Amino acid sequence: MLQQILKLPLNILLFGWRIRGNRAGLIGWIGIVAYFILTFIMPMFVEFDDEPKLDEITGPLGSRIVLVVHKDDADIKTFEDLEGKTVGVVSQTGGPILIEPYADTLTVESYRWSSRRDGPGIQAALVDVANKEIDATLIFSKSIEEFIYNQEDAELKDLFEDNLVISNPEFGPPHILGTDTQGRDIATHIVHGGRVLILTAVIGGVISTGIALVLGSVSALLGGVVDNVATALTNLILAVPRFPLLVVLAGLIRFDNTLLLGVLIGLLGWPALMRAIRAQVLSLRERDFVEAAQSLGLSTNHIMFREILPNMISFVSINFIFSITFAMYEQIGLVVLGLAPISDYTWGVMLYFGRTRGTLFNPDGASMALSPVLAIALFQVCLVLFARALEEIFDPRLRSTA
Amino acid sequence: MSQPIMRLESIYRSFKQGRQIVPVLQDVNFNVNSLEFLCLVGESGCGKTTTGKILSGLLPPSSGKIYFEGQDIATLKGIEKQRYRRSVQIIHQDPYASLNPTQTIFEMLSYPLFHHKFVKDHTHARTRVGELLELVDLTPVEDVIDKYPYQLSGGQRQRVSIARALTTNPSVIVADESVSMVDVSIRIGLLQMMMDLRDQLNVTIVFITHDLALAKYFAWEGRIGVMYLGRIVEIGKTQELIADPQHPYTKVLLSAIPEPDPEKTRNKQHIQLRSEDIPRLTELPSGCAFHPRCPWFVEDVCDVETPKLGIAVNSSNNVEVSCIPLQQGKVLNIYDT
Amino acid sequence: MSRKLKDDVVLKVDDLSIVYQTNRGDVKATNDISFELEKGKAMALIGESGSGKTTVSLSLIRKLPKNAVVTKGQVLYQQRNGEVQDILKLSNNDLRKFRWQECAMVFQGAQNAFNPVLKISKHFEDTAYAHNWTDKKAIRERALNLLRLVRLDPERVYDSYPHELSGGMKQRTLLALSVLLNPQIVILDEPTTALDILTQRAIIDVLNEMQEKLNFSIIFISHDLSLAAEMADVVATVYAGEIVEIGDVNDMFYNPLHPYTYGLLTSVPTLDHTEDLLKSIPGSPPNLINPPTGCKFHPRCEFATDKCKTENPLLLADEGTHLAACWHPDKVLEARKETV
Repeated sequence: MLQQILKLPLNILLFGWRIRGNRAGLIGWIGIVAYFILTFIMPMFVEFDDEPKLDEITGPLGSRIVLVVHKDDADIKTFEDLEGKTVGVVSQTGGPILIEPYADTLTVESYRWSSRRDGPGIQAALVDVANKEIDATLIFSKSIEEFIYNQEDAELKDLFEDNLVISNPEFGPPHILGTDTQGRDIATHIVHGGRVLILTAVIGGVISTGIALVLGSVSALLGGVVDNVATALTNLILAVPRFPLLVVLAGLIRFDNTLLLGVLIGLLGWPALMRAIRAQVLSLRERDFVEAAQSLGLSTNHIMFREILPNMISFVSINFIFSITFAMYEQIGLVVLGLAPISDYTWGVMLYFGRTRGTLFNPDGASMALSPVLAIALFQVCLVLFARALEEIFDPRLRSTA
Repeated sequence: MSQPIMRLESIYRSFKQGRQIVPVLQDVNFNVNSLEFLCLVGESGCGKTTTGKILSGLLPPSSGKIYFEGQDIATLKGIEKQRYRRSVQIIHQDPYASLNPTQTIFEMLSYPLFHHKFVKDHTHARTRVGELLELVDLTPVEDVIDKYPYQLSGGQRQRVSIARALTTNPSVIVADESVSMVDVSIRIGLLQMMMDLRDQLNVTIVFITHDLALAKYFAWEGRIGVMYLGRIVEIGKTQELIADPQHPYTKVLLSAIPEPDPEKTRNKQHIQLRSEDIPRLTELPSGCAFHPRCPWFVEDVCDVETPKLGIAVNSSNNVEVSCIPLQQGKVLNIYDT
Repeated sequence: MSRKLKDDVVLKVDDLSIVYQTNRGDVKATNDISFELEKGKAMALIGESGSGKTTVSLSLIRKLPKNAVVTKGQVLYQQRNGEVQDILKLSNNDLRKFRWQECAMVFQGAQNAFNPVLKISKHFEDTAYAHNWTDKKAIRERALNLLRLVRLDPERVYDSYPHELSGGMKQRTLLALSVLLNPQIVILDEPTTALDILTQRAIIDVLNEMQEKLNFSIIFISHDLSLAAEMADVVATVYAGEIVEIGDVNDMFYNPLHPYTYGLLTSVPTLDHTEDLLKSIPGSPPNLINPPTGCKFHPRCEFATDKCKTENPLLLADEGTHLAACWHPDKVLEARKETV
């Protein structure tokens, strides 16, 4: 077992080499491997950013704390420059944490945050800088400019505009994808948010493909009453619109467990594939080589598993990949509408919060909505491209003419 | 002559198409003699393929009896029935469809060997499969045994098909148009190989085809049965049938075959049929099914009574014919048409 | 290569070489194919699978698949007014006019040639409209005449749907459709393969009559020697993408020079009792990505010598129009003498 795990990277590379002729499939395969690393391996190294930092709310590639100083001290830009100075930090913003390691080299003046967003703590800090009572303050990113600009109090506004300067708008740690509405780093959320989603989708895909395969083959091979019952059941479930059904079920049952959701989606997703598989088996059953197997007295088991099924690998595999994509979409659909569990912070949940926190309408907050969307969409694309590689792997062997 | 190895008695076969019943075979009677070469010849829709499938047990007749080694196969059960199944094998027409594309040659030949316990283990199976491949002239064996069907040519695949049929040591092989989809220049080789199998393995071969020239070659020492619209219209020794065909349909067929000899074929006199239309199986003519097209049609005889196989009274050979005027003594000459 | 053709030549193919580009390598499908087709005559291209005969026929109407490349050669066609065009260089517009109006091709498997939701009449009309012939009445009249010519009940067939006709009837309707616009050349791909004896006979008779009345040239692609014997004036045997022998039909059948032609003739059973002479040609068609050196037939030839393994013979004139690409054409004659 250990040997297999160790050989895994090698096998992955070999597989990629095998399908190198099919460019689309290769891209898909590389993408899937990348996603696997992103969602299963990287979480071990990257910590989930769970801490609200109100001053770090920002868009991608620019989320930083800014350093505000008096006009006269505009050359203060780094921590070294602050040595020995008095720096004001507002509680509940990233400032206090950021300054902790340097607390020995400078004097920290704390201001209390208040319940309002642009509360007195921030205002007090800015006033003190303007009045040179403290040397600098670490505060919000670019939105501080708006804060100053939108001051209603004309006197304060003039005070700020005349005396304050943002000496280093990129002071704090960078956030590649920006932060969410609470200032938490989105990139870490993306890294952690794929695991459960993908697992659930795969479970859903496995269940629906499995049921479709068993039911489809059995009903095609046995025919008669079994076939009629299975087809009727399939048509029944097929006729019921899946998504509204899930919505209704969500209202009745509490989906506490994401895995349970995956199972449920799987249990509802098999009808279309069952019909396709049944049609395939029916047609394969009439082929000459099956007739030859019957003539030679080979058992029904043999005919099913050794004659018919191997001819369906390509078809079933590709549909399995697609059923994963469908399961994923359904799951996300439910989550975004708020009908499914949000205990695991998956990409879908990010979208949900993105929607409810109004980021869909705010260009600054676009990253919170777009990042999960991109993550999901790219993953689906990789799956679909990879399915094309599967086609090539299975089909040349199965091609009947030389 | 000992009893025939197989016998078909009053075989009828029809199937339902929507609300209609389509009669594919009607009153088919003939013997398959042990170790003979028998050909069933006819055009599409005559029922020869269905007859082949009924012979090999793949299709049950709608009515009638099939005898194998003297026993009615409908009465066979259990081991006896399995033995019958193993003893009659079929070879299909299409070399591209008759082999499972996902199995290697070794796999597809060893499955029946293992299933019927003809071999004990893998090594034994490999030897036996090698023997079978040599029997069908697929040598060197190493070049073929681990290949997939798509890596072989049409002719090679047919040979594999034949080898597969031989895995159960059958006593009868039904070859359904088995060389039609193979290159012209290698058909004869395949047929010769099949004919050799009779001497090497004591197998009786029933060859189904629409090509009379092939049938004549294959069954020169044996018999030919000509079928039309679900019935046998003429059956007898090939040499007699070809030299002096009795039934109008056979005469027309022989006169119509294009031959690879310019002088001969361009100067051949073709017997004209009364009608070009081939009746549908659901709208069979009354009496003799051939009468609307028959150049020697006798009114009130041919359209009234359905003929059965019998000897033509005034003929010099012993072929059986399904034609009432012939059975009544009439002689059919070409210049009568 | 000159562009002037003799008056009675309607098609001249010069050194046609076509390669299929596949990811396993370049498949040399045809190699320096050259022949002439005279007006009103029928030519048979006889070959088996992998011979390149279908490739040649497709190139004549430029219906080759995307991965096919014509590396060399020209296909010269002489119109009725004497103008000569190279088909391979025609513009798309001219190609459209050429197809069906000057040269029609009937593919194997007539069953699939018809659109099941359109009546036969619509097929005829659509074909005519595509070539700017819009007189419905005239179209109908000509169509009915042609259907009568192919021995079908004209009114009945013209107004029916394809599924109402049998396979043989569809084949004949397709033949009628192919000459609707009075082409000079009709190409037939395996017209009699896998057909019943009586259906074959009907098709052959119909073709003979049509050619007599309408006087077009025919090219057959087939592996059926009987068809060539029935209808061809000129026969060419094709092997591994090359014409290995070409000549008058009687010369080819009664005096074959190339071992492949001879092998074909002695591997086909006839109604005469010639059992003892029949034998298959050993081996299988060659790999066209890496064809054999020298004469491509040498691995299967019973008369092969060292020269055959190294040098590829060209079509050499034996007498006049009977050419064979073989270093030892006398060997076949010897072999035939022994068997008589």
